[in-house]
Amino acid sequence: MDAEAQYKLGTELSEFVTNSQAYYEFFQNVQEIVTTASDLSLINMNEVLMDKIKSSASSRAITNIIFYNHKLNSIDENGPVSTTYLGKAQTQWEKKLIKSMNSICTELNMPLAKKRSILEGQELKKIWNELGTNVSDLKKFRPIFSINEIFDHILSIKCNNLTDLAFKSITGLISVPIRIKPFDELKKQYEKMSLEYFQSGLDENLNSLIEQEKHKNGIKVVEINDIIMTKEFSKTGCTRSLRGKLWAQILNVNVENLDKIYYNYLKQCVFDYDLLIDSIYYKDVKTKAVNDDQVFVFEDLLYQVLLLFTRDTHLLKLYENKSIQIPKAYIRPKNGDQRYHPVFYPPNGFLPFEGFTLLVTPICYVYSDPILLYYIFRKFFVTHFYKLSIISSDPQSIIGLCALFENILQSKDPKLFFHLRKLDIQPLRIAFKWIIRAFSGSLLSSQLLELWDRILAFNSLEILSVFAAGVFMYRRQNLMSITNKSHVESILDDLTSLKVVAILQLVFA
Amino acid sequence: MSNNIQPYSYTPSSFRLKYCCDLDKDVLSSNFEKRGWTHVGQDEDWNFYWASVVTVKAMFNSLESHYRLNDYQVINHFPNHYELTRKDLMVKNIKRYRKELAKEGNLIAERDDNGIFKYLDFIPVTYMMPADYNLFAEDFKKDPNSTWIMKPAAKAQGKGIFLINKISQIKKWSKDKWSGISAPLGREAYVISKYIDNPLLIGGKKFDLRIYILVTSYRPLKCYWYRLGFARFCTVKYTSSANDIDNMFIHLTNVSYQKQSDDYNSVHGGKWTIENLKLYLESTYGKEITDKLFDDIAWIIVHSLKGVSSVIINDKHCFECYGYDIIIDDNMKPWLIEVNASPSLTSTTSSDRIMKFKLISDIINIVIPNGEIPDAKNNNKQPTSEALGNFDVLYDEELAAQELSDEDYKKQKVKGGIVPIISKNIKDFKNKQSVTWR
Repeated sequence: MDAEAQYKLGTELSEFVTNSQAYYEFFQNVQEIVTTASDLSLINMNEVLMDKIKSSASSRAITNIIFYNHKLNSIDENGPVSTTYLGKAQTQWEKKLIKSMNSICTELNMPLAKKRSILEGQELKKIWNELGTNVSDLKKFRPIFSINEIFDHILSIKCNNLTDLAFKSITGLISVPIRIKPFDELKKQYEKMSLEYFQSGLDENLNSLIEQEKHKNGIKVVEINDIIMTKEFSKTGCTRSLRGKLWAQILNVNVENLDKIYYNYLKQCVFDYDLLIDSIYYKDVKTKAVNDDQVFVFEDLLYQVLLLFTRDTHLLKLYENKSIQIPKAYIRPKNGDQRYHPVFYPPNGFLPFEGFTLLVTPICYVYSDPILLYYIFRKFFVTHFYKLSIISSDPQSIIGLCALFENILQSKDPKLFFHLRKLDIQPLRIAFKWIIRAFSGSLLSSQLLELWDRILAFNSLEILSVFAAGVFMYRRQNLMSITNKSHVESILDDLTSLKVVAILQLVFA
Repeated sequence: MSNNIQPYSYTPSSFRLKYCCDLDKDVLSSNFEKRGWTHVGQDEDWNFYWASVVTVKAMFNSLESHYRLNDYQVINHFPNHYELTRKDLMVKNIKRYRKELAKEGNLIAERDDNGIFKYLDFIPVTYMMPADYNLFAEDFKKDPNSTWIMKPAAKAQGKGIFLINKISQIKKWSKDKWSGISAPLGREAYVISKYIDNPLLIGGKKFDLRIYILVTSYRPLKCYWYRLGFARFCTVKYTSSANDIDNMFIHLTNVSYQKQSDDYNSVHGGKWTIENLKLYLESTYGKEITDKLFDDIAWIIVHSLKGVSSVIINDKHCFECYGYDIIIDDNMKPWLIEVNASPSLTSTTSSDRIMKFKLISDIINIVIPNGEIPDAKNNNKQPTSEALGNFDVLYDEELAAQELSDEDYKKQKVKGGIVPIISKNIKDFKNKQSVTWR
């Protein structure tokens, strides 16, 4: 990073910090110290103050903010190869999505957005806690894009700098030269997943004493509220009853008054405007969550999160300085102005894929307060999940994760990989739907949360690729014995018996 | 019964158990077939009978056919199970049990300053109708805003249930029901219970718990807790406002009732596994509160069984699997609503089918150890941990007595009458228990 960029980042951060409520509290705290400290004089003011400030909770809150936001800003697009073609692929993909959205619009002959009448808004407000009953006929709505569509698009990406011969993928499907972490580096990074460390949730009964010890430590960690320490602790898993607090600390989510006001503002936006995309979310919840015996109870919470999410313009910031174009719609104001004005559509700039709901459902297990639930999900999204549907050279974007998956499986278990390839089975074709949904909907809820603990603690989606490869390795024996392409489904269809930690340990062992 | 009974001579390889079954349920027949058992009629020499309550009633209770079971026969109901499974009798027995304990000066029957039982207040206030009408009316006057639920004492699956919140409603109803010409053959007994109007909600929805309990003996008490229970959710959002009092979908969680609703989902049938419920509660309320809740539920179940153990005919040929219905209120206090003698074996979904198949399979493994001919004279063996399957020992009076030294046992007896619970395979279950099971 050059000096200029550093300076820019510094000013941005300090501006961000001084605008936060934590800073306000910090400031008050300092004033309090100044007025109450008896041993304070002009000579030692600096030392005494620094000493007291350092050990205060309010200064830790600020360290946490800086640490969190500093990390957040970096989408890593500095791969070894020129990546303009990936930028092009992203632009093509965006065009495709807009086209799809437009054709849904014309097929249904419905506007993208319309203002609700006051009465309509009031009616909706009344049933806010049971939005599931509000649904009319959803048959005609379809997802903006299916998982297969984005998969096919990714496969179609070719790097023009490379001739087919130079990077003829003899093995996997991803034919894009993208930076992948060597396995040794990965192993080092995930050292805490090695067998030497006790992992919580592996077997609660057998290790109940260690589990209790871990829980006790966890209570201390939560109390100290230091983001780095919390992450280290969570690398070996969050115990169930502390998970909510640990996650909130890692994601640096504190619901403050301002957040509550903003939440209610977003809610009001739902009552004021009817968006076409709402119905697409409704349909997604109905087809993906309401029929799922693990998450159906959360139906109404899901609508609340998703309808607010799509209206949350806070998310637009995410796409600044990145090679991503936000879709726009055009409106003509009612005041007689004949010109069309561009607006972002949907307001948060994000078009969801089929099954997007599943990225919210696991969080419902952890938080019962809808406001906290919303902010945790939003943070999850801006930190990690948005990378699952953009095309970029960031190793954590979906292409990077796919390439990593193929790479791990190939290098850790080449025999299995080639056996499957011989039968014309592409492992990635199976793993893709797991990865893009972060395994939600495939695992038992308790296991899924274990996996997501590691996403947060190691601050990376790479664990999804590792785990996907692990699933193949774990079912190796069955997979090696198949002789026909069609049998693979029956082996990998049901993952509900899997233990996440055991499989991760298997890969890293 | 046929007259020429052949003396049994069998070798393990050639012998096939004979079973009889009243219910045409897939989860039953597939279990029998899997074991290679032979199907026989009721009049033949069966070893294992899965009978309906009607059959059992006829078999044990009618005077003319005094049925005697042989040592090699077991059946799935106790002769007078209704002491527990009829709503009115259950309440009566629990009230009597509390009185008895109080008389002995047992600490379990202690009351707090308001006269409420400290440890045995686990059924909603209930009166028999029409017998206790005056008592009920008096109680109602004290708290005129309360809601009450009327249930026929002997019916299941949500039949004949309704809510009232005005005394006039019950007056009108009793006039129609009991004094008109339309009341044939005596009065049908009803119970009226205070409605739990502050249930714990998840995702805004009300639910109750269905827990399967297997009892193989009442004296000494031996009961087993089936781990794969579930929570049943209402399809409609919960509101306690008076306008909705007629919308029974909100209030009743019986699947057979909910099935009539438009919102019923046939994929999961509104059922959530206890495992998932625990995960949710531990994550949102913490482990301590969740553990205490499940301890309290175990407590309720054991005491409801102890409450009837002195009146149940402890026939050595009998075992029984009960469906316990429990509601949790928003103070995390569980309430016993009712106990079903023949919990539904109809499978509503595929995972439901798997769960019920395992239930029957695990029951058979416990009551027919090693698949051998049952022996009623000598059936007090402890099931091995493999045979337990998805069951955990909830309470075993014999084992409980063995595990304590004589002195401790006496002390416990004095304190509570019930000695700490035993669970061989769940270690932490035991640890927890000894804390709460004072």
